[in-house]
Amino acid sequence: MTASAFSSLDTAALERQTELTAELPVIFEQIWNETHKKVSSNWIRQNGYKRICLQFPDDYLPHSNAISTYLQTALAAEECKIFILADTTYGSCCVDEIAAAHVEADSMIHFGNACRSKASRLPVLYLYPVLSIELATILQQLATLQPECGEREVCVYLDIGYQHLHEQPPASGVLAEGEDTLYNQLRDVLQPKKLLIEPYPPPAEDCIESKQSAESDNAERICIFVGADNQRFANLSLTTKAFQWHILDGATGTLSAKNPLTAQYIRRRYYYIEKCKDAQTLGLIVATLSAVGYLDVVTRLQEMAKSRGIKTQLISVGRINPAKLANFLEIDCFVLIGCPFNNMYNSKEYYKPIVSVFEAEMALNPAWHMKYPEAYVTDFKQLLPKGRSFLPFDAQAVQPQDVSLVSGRMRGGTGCDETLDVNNTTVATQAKMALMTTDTGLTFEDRTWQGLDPALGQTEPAKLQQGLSGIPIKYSHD
Amino acid sequence: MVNFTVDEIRGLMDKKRNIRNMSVIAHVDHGKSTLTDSLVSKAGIIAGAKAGETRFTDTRKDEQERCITIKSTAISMYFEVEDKDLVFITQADQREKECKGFLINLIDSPGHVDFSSEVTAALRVTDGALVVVDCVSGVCVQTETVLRQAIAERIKPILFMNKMDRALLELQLDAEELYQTFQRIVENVNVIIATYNDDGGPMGEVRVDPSKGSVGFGSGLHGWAFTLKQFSEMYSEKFKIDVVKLMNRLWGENFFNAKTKKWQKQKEVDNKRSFCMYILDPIYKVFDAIMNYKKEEINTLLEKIGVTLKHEDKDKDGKALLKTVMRTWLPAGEALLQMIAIHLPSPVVAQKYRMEMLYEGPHDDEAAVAVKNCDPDGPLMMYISKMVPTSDKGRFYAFGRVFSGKVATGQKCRIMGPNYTPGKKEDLYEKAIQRTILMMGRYVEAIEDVPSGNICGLVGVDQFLVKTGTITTFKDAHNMKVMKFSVSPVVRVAVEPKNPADLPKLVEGLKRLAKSDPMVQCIIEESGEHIIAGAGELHLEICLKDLEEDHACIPLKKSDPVVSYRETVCEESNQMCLSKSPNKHNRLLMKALPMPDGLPEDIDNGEVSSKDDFKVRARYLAEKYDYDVTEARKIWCFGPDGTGPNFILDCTKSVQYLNEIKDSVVAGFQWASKEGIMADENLRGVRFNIYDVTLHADAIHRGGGQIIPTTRRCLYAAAITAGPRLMEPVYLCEIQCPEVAVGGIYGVLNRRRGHVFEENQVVGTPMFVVKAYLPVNESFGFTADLRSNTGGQAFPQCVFDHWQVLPGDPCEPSSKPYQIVQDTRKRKGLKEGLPDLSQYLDKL
Repeated sequence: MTASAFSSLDTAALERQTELTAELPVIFEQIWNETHKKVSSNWIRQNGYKRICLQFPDDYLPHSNAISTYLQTALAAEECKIFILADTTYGSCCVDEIAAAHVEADSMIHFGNACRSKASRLPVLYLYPVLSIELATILQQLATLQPECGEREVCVYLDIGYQHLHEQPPASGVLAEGEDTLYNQLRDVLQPKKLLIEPYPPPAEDCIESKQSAESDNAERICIFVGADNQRFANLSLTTKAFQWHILDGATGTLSAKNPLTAQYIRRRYYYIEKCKDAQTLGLIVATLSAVGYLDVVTRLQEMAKSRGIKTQLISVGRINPAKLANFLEIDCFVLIGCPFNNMYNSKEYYKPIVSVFEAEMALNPAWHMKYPEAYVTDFKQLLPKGRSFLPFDAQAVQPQDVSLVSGRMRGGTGCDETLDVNNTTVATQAKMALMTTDTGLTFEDRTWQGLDPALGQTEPAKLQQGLSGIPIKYSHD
Repeated sequence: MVNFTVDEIRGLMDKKRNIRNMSVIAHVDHGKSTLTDSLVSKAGIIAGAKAGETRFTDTRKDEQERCITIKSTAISMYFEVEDKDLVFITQADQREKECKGFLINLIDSPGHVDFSSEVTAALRVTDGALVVVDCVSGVCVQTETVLRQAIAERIKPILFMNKMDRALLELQLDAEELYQTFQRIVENVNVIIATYNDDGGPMGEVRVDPSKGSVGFGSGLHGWAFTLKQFSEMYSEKFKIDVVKLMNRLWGENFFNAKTKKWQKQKEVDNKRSFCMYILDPIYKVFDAIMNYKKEEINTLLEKIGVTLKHEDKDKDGKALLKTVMRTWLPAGEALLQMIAIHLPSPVVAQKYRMEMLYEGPHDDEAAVAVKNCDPDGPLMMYISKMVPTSDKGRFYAFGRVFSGKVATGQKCRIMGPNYTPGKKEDLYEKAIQRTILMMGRYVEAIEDVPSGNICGLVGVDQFLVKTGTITTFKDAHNMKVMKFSVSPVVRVAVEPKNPADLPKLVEGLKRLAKSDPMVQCIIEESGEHIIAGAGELHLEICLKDLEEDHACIPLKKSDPVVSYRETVCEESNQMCLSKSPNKHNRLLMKALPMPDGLPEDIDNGEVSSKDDFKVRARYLAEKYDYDVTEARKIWCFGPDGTGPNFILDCTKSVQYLNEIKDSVVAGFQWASKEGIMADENLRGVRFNIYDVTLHADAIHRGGGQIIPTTRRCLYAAAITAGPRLMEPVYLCEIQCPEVAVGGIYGVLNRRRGHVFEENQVVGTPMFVVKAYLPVNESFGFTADLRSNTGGQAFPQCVFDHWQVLPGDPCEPSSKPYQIVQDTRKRKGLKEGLPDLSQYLDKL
């Protein structure tokens, strides 16, 4: 009886409706065309890899078998073993080296959306889908932007899927007349002061942000994103300052203006930053294992938190969800250390707020105290020494006490002067003794249920009994 | 020149029986600050001629410009009382032997209702109150409010009838009419006192009585005042009657027949009321002679009343001369000083009966005993009631009262905020006091230490306290009780910097603003809005101005004022709501239902609270609200924030492991009661019952991660199925106006969804008082609207009174609540539309 209360009928699982993500269905030819075939088999052959992992995002999985079979047949002579990674530890944009290590792979082919975080161990080949696009429509749409773009710097970013449009501009600046390069065509249509065309994410590993650093001082420019209003656009537009952003939707060929890095957005994030300052215990969630520098970030955050008297807990729970994080009842705020594409969580379903490393830095580093961010930093490596947005941390500058604008209370370490004057008898000198000593941050003193009372030696020894057996969902004794 | 030194003051601080801590309270525009000038000038701090115009205690520029007090201001003054007056102080604890000097710590408070939090903060640190009443307008709304607060804090009142000059010069009242006016005001005040004070209580009888000298009369503007004591002293020689006896004769139904030289108790044809005859007549004569330029008469009169004009005053005439003569004859400072010294309690007297109102801890511990005895050698107990800005931007003096022990420069203390609980570390700091200072209106003076019974400021404490706190050296000390304000911050505006990059400055400015005002709330909301919440429009206006000019120093964009709403339910859930945990192994069954009327208010007022013993609480709920006793014993918690006016109740029958998930359910309840399902606003007046819980046998499968989100979903489902409603805040609005304007008031109120529930004529005046309920949401611009519709004759005073259900179903797209819910959701960046029940409700 109880078993049915806990578990639903088997058929329910089959009938359950799941929500599909908004992205368009993937067509096999887009992700696995002749070029892809050639590139991948050549790459494997030339490097002599034997055990190759194929990593797919969820929506590519229907085609994974066909791709794997193709490679298997094509590389039959090399006796290669091909593995499909159908589940990733964090996000499908990151190269999952851990999963690959399970099969002792020596190389990896990564399909679809990629954050291009540096993989430290495996050689990786990134294969993007190729989406068809009508160049004429693009140009026609962009023509409407001409009045805005004239006399301004224009930057065109090509999303995954449209990077086949990209060619290098002629190096010397001498343009071959009549040649129909994208660069020339765009320049003719928009007549900008200066035109840049960039693929996004950039081809080199580990430089999601650094590309823009050289130009980022020019806030007057117009940016056009050829792709869709997706995670990549969000990431790119938050980290890049621009006068105006436009999205050219490749699938529908429509143009829309959108500026995500608004004052409103930053003010909203300030609420979470304030929450982070309020926290007495911070949970540092490590949601990446491949990105270089995450350990440095952890150490840095721990050091900053300690100087404010905030306790930290290091957590690794794989891909996060509300249920997992709500198990940490005593943690007031989480910091997600993830790849640039995987660190923004705005969902209201989470019991406690989640902030990015950048926001934690703004909260905890006194150097950020009166500073307003020009643009967001989604790549935490930029916050480490030598990074573009690095600000040194000075523990001395920490202003320990402060009013919280969320709770309206005082916050900051319960500052008792360390050097208590022993001669001054009017002061309670033993204040510290009454307090607990554990520094894990997870104290259960506020809980009403603190576990069973073992009452050692006070109870009669019980007789051995038959325990439960079976799996939790259906114990055999019921 | 100031006629005392800091050393003299410091000397007197040890003479605790010669200290008087007092506040000046009244309705707006009744002349508190002006009257205070008289004392300030007597102390030599400002010139006598300037008294009444300087308003020395209005230290801010805008206070001077607008002629309205905004912040309460403290000033310490030294006076000497003559031997002949000292004999009137009969109680032993009211004066030190062989000491003429008196230290008066005076706090001038604002009269406008929007700033009544300042009054509350002032009352907390004083023992006596000078209640000022304009004898032309009589006892007004705010007079009653502040007097009621004073009595509740066990503050002893004395009364002063101000603006007598207006009664004489403008209204031309005859003597008997004026007496009747005075008599009525005294009665009104005593009625209020009797309503809120128990004569048999620890404070004893506190009613004011002119014949005892606890009522003063005069004009703050002109700087003259008297009590019956002054006049009976003048006449006692002549009549050969003892001063005290004569004082009794000079008030009330005492008539003197000049021919027969007999005192009579009834009015007859040839006798005259003694008050009119001996007190008002001479004053009337002086007024008449001077204002009508009767040169000769003036000279004889001056001789009679014993006033010799100084050389430079000889040329004056008219009002200027009148002022000079009156203030030489009946100096206001002297009369006030005697009233204060004789009738207001010293800290020694007052702390005896105030301790139990002030201290949260046991009434017999070391701190309590020291406070009770005002013991300077006991442990330090000091209450910080507000923060006063310093010239150093962003820093504040912590202003408060030393109730026991001594606070000294460099002393190490425990600084405890309002959330401190003994034995825990939260809101507790151990720091040294950088400096102790004396507050002198717009100046401060450094002082080495301050013993019990005095008011002073501290430097270097502000960073550890938000607004108020307790400072002690006793390690087991509990907090002093937090102040209870008579107004609530229900009006809100959102601010943002004009230049987005100024955001950090705004945040810093908001923190300073939060400190600088006892009431204002500065909050960042999840929607990213920076909210300032205040008691009313004027309060917000001042706060915004301070923020822009002093605290943040950046140009701001301000939203229109908005109110915050509450979510509630109007019926019991129409179905049992079941939610399953993410792993489907745990189920919760709950229902929501509204609380009975009055219970949410009881929770607000602390009549029912989480700290109560559960049995006592259950009995109370059963008696007053017909709750089932066994059920009422199982209230798991209140929320939001553990204290709010909602609770969750365990109605289950023998569920295994239930106590293990209590913490998780409580966490989920706090979450859901803070962020309601409709508009993400706080819940109010909702009771949730847990009927059944099915839990997985393994602890690992019923952890917080499974239970917290599920509780939240289940509570939301219960709320949706119980007829969700919105509540809005409502002002109690009291409007004073002449009869002709009453019609205009009704018109304005009707247009704004207000309704009148009481209309009274003020006895003896042509004025009417109209009392009405007005939704706060409709109150913006109300004052201006009212004035333009009544020819500027109606003056409203609005105080938050209660929450009221907004009629209409927020799920009905055509209703007003629906619109409000959608607007709120939009503002907060939530998905628009209505919540979908199926997201929260699971099937078995």
